[in-house]
Amino acid sequence: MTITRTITVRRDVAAESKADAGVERARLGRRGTLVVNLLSSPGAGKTSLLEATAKCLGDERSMAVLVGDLETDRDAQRLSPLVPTAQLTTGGACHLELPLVRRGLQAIGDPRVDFLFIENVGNLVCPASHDLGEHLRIVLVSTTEGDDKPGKYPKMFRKSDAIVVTKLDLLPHVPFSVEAVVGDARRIQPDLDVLQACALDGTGIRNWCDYLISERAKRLAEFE
Amino acid sequence: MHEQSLVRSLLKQVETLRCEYDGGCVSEVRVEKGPLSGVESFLLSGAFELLSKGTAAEDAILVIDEVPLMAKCKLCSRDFEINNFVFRCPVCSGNVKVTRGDEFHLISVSFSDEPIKNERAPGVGESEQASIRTAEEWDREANVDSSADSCLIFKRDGN
Repeated sequence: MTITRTITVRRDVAAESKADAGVERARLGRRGTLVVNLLSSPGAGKTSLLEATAKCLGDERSMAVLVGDLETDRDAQRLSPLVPTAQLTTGGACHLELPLVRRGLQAIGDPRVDFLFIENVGNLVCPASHDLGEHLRIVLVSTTEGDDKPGKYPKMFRKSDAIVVTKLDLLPHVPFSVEAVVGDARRIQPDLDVLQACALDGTGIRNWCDYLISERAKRLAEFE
Repeated sequence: MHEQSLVRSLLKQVETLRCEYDGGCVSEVRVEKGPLSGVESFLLSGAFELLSKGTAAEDAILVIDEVPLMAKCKLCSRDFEINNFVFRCPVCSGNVKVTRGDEFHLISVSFSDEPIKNERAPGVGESEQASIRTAEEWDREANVDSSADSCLIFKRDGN
C-alpha cells in the first residue's frame, strides 16, 4: 500500500528572483542610479521618448539604456549615438528577466549614471510580472492605441508608478480621451502620476525630465 | 509565457524540499494563485507537465487553488473583495492596500513511497539517473535560458 506524506510550506515561488531584484535595486540605488523600467504595447513610442529624453537631459544628467526586443538591434542603432546602449534580444521571449538585464549592464561597463532606463519588450502582459530591480515603473499609452487599455491590462497599470500619454500631437485626429484613460487607470491604481508628451515636437519632454529628476531624489533617498 | 520560468522555480523548490525531507516520488504539488499574480492556470499546468518530465515530480498532480483579490481600505479600514479590478473602497471610495491576491505560492508537496520512475526503469544507467535534476541544475538551466548569447553591444565613443 502506498504511504503518502505531505509537507506544508507556503513559500513564494518567485521569492528568489524577488530577492535578487532587491539586491540589484539596492546596489544601483546606493551609487545614485535610478533604474526606470519603461513598459508599453509595441509602437507606443518608448524609443522615441528615450531619444527625446537623452537630448533634453544632455549633459545635465547622465543616462544609459538597455533596450529589449525579440529580434534586431534597430532600437540600439537609434539610441547608441546619444547614450551608452545595450540591445537585449530575447529571441522570442515576451519580457525581460534580471539575468539578461545584468548581462546587458556588464556589456556597457556597468556605468555610474544618474538614470538607467530599461526599455522592456513591447507587451502589456508578462513584463508586468517581472521585477528587474527598478526604482520606478512607467507605462506609456499612445493616443493611437485607444483609451481603453488600462481596464484590459489591469495588472500592468496596478503595478506602475506613472503613466505617460504619448503621441499627443495626434490627439486632434484620433478618438482618444486623456481624461478617459486617466480615469480608467486611476480606478486600478489611484496613486498613478500622469504625464503627457510628444517626442516629435518636444511637448511635455522638459516636464517629463523634471519629473525623473525629482523622482530620483525622492526614491534614492532611502539608499543613502 | 513567463509561466515556464515560474515552473522552473517551483520545481526547484519542490526538489529542495524533497532532499530536505528525504522524500521519495512526488505525488502532488499544491499551489495558490491570485488574480494579480499574472499566472494563467492553463499555461501553468502545461508548463508543469512539460518541465517536470524526467524529475521526481513527473507523475505528480498539480493542484491550483485560486484565491480571491482582497483589500483593506486605507481610510476606513474595511476589508473587502475587489471585483472588476476597481481598487477603491466600495463604502468610502478611499484608496486601498491589496492584502491578498497578488501571490503565487507553493503550499504543499506530497511524497509517496513509490519508487521514482527513472530509478525503477529497467537497465537504468548513470545518464538516466542524472535526469533527476537537482536545485543547482534548475539554476543552471534557468541561467542558460535567460542569458542566451543574445546581448548585442553598442557603446558611444568615450564611454
